[in-house]
Amino acid sequence: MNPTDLVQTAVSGLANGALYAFVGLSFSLVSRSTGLINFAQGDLTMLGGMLTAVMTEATVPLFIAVPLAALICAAISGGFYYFAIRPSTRATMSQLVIITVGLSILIRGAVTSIWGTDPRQVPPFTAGGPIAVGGVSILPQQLWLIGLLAVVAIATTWFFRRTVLGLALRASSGNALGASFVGIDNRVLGLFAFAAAGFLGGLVGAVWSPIAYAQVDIGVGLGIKGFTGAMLGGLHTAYGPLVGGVLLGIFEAFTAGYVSSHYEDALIFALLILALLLRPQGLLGGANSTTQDERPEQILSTSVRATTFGRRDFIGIAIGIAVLGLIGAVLPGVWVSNAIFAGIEAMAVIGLVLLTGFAGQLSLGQAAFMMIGAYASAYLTVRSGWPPILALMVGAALSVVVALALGRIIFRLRGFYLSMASLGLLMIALTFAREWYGITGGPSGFVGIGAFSLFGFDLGSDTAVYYTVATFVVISLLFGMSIARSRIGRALLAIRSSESAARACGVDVVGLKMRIFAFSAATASVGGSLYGHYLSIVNPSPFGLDATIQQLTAVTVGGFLSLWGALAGSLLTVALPQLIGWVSGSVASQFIAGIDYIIFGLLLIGIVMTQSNPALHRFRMRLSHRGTGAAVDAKESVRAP
Amino acid sequence: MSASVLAVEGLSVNFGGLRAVNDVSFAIGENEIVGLVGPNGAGKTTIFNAIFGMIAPTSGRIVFRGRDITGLAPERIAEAGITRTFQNVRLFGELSVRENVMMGAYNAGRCGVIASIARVGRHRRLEKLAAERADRWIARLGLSAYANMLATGLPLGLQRIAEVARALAGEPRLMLLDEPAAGLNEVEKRQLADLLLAAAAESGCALLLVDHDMHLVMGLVHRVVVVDFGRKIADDSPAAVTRDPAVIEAYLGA
Amino acid sequence: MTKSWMLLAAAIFSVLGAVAARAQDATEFKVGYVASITGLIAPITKYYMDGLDAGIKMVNESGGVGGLPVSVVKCDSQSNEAQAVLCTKRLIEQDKVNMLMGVGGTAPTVAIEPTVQAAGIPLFAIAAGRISYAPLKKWVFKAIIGNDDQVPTVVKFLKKKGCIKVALIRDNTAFGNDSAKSIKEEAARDGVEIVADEVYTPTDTDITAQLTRIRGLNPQAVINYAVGIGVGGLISKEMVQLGMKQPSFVGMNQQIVGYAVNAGPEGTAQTFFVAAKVASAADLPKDDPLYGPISTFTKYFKELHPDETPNSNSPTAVDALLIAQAAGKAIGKKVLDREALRDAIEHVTNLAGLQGFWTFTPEQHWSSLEAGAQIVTYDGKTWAPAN
Repeated sequence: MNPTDLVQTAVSGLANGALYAFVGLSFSLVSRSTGLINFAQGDLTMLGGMLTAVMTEATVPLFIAVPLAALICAAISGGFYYFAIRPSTRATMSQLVIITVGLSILIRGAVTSIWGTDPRQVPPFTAGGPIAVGGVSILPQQLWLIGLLAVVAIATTWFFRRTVLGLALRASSGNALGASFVGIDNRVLGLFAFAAAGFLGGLVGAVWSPIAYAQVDIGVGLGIKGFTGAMLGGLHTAYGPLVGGVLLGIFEAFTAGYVSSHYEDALIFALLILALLLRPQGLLGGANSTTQDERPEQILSTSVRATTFGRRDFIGIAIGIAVLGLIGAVLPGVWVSNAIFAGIEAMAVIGLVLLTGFAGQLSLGQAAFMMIGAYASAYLTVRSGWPPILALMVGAALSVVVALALGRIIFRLRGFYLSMASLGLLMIALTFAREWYGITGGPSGFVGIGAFSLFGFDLGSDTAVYYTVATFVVISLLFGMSIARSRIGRALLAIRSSESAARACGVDVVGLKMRIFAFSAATASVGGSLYGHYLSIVNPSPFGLDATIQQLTAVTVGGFLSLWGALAGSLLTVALPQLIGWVSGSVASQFIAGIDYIIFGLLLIGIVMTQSNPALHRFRMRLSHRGTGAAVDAKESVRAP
Repeated sequence: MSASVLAVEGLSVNFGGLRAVNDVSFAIGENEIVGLVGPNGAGKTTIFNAIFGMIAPTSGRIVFRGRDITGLAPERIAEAGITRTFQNVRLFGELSVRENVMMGAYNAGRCGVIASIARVGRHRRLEKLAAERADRWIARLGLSAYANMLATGLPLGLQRIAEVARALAGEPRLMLLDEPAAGLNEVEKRQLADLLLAAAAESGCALLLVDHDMHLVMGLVHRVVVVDFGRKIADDSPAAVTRDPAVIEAYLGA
Repeated sequence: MTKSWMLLAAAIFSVLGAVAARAQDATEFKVGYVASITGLIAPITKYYMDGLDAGIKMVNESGGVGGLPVSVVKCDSQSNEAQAVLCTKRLIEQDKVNMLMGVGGTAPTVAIEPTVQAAGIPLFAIAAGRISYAPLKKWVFKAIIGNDDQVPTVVKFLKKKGCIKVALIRDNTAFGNDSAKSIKEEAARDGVEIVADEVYTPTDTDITAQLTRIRGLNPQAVINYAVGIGVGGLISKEMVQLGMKQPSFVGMNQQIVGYAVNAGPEGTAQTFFVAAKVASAADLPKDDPLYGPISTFTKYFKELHPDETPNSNSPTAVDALLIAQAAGKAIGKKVLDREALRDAIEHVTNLAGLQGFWTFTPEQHWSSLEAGAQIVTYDGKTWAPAN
């Protein structure tokens, strides 16, 4: 271990750490002020770099381009808060996470459409090559970055400790109602926090991207790492994001340089999960300084739920099955194929309706179970020659076991922390799928998987696959409906509203979450198995964050509580790119490709907004009074606005 | 002690260096209504949460009907026969009033996910039981007109009553009521008090309630336990407690 | 609630079902191109498209395919396997194309092959991995310079230059993995030692840790295989930053001007690129067997894109058209019959394409294009063969 290399690695890690620290600081700013986590924070950073690149290419001088880029990001972030988040006063944490996911997609779609996906270079502040000090080199721009970080760190600390506005922000994050009593308008504060975080994000993007490059896809990873760093150091502390971000950068560099670059990702996510589980307040946080906000409830239900299967339900189910059957017989081939992929996704989404919709647990790791099913089926049929139906069942059983084991661990977490932990597990699973060459075939995975067959009947044609998938979908749907209409369904909704009250009624909350998680794992796994047979190849690429976001979109479009809605949502996410492609004819271009991202982003934001709007909320309340004849004045209870 | 439903023995709860509850002991007998009062920060909610398993006591025991329930999880305690209401009404917003009260009966038996999918006999029986109990208590507490409304659409007073109905549907031997009258006007408080008395008598369960309205508490309970700075300073009938000099000093003194 | 969802789903399907199938136009030869217009492979796809434009003109102004004008219908697979399959089916059923090409990445290409085989339509596999065209598949043909052609070019060049201690750094995608495997096998055959195999994610923005480790091993050269253009150039830039003087060798997909922008002038000066002969068209001697098609193509390319020069990725989607054209010379208008077209392609022998010589037989739907690959360098203005 050459000392020069050691120092060099540390220096590189420090520079990256500065970047993560900045991003983490933005997360912290928003979280301390509003209790929210802005999933799009990384994309705002990317946008800062992108805007600077575009402007300098149009010969705008750098000293104008950089602040202008930062201001534009501030405007987008602040505007987003003002128009999308602020009116959604009755959204739960999960809903708000989904809105910010929508913003992330929207930004990426817009950038793709306007400027394409090519990476771009951004000019550095000072010209000149790397500065070498005895074999260790550092770029001038990296010094700028670190220097700027120091300045910003001092400024934000001073701001939070010494200015009235800063103190107000800290006050309102702890107790919004109390803060409003003292005359603090937390909507203005929220606006400020988001705008400031946007400004910081855009600024660091502009300062950092000369070191690497600006490209539409790099934002998400940055956001995740910035968040991880902030969590490690302490999201709600003054210096936590800084310390955590820098430590993370150095940890990452040393893992890549001295342990294994192959497992670098997995180790970082493992670190995040450990931090979330063992020390959510971070290194610098005090024992009780985690704030998991209790926001006022949002009601999704429009009417009282049915608890039994009545005659109308059977008719409805029969109609549904008939329509599904008709589709397979009537539609031209390519749209049947769309339906097949939609059905496969629906298998994953049905479980999510129960887990995320009913119980309010936002899991971002569902794709991992599809992956387990896909690989189990691939491995057992290709390498061991098992009949596909057995392989499918083994995959499902394996997924259930994994879900129960992991569920017991991660369902101690709530809200965004749960989401991040589940995402971390997915990323770790992807790393293993990529690296366990002997079992999974590495990044190329398995090829030549045979068609699904049952008792010797080869079900390879599109129509046969469609009916197979449809059958499994209907079975899962019926199971899901049965759960929804049972005491378990009631208990899940109870968990969504108030876990403590649910426990007070005797509900084993963690256990129930685990079991629904296992159910959703089983259906997702079956979907994954069918996917492998249909596509004939299995590799890690379809099971990443993009798949998760697609599933989230399907659940959201479906209205969170509707199982049939989830089917329709799945169909939309699969068919929309094809529809847009068809409509735009042969003019397939990046502009068009960005459009379906824009549409999905707007859908996510719009749907959650309409569900969370208080005016609509009152409308829903009134809906439920229909038929009782009671002239009750639906006064809202005394709670925080 | 053999007739006591709940016995709190030497309960202490420390938060870091702070002794929130310091060696508190008291008992609640069958059908007794006991009030737990004290100035703000005296440790009342902490005692509640300790009984209900939401925080772990540093030392001491909690015995319920002869069984040591110290440190059990809240859902187990609910199963054992203690239910509660919350200071900031925690009704289930996605459920109707009736469904909320049915949830109170969740602890009547175990029926898991798979059994529910299959809707086996056990599930149907539990559902029937829950429905019966819910209907009975809703009718008894005068909520029939609102049964099918989404629970949080009701005005606060009715919501509190609904929460009581939910707690009663669990057929508890002991009910913990955390500030059941907060936010109610005088008329509503009177109604609530009458309902509580009647319900307790009818279901034969004991009540432990915390509230700040002295008038309400004194008029309702058989016995009062007074805590101050985490210590018990009085444990007697309402009349005796109002004359107790230590109590008077705790409330009016420095 | 259920009703409204059923209605929505029914509405979506009505729209889908009502999509009018585009009529089969017996007056043109339609090629379907399943392309990765967004996603990981997107930056290179742009060059495929630019070259394709020139190629279409080139083919049409020399008799088309079987006497018919060529038109290309594109579909964006978003670098996503499922969408690639859906694109393929749509092109076959709705647009009724006569021939397919795609997808740009090895895995999505393999993913669409069952559909192609079932529908019985010729596919030119635009994928670097051998597995996309071998073992023999009835309807699938090799279309581009693949790993099998590139890798020996690189490794033999290294051996020739006396670089026998070489470090490898590549991304963790299937492409990076397959390339690594090919490189290690070829290196073993040629007696070159691979001293490191470092890995990164395509969207990573800092690779200095891995490079520092490589620096410590003091190799004579660094092979850098990446799908992503941004990170490919970045590695070169960071090597310079770390004071590493070794040359780096990158794959054909990186042989674009964008690389030089990302790598910086010093990084580019130290880089050797695997390239097709098209890349150094200006330097191509008139007696080079590929001179004819390459110079013709370059002429058309410059007409359409006066400010650019073709790079190794420009001819990628064009040779498929040239091969179809050659097949069409034998059977004329029967190119509209898929079986006939396929048979004719199988008898194409020694066709001078832009990437090399194409020879197909009924037993082998690929041929070696090693002769069409070379190593070039870039001085900021021109790409010149390295010696």
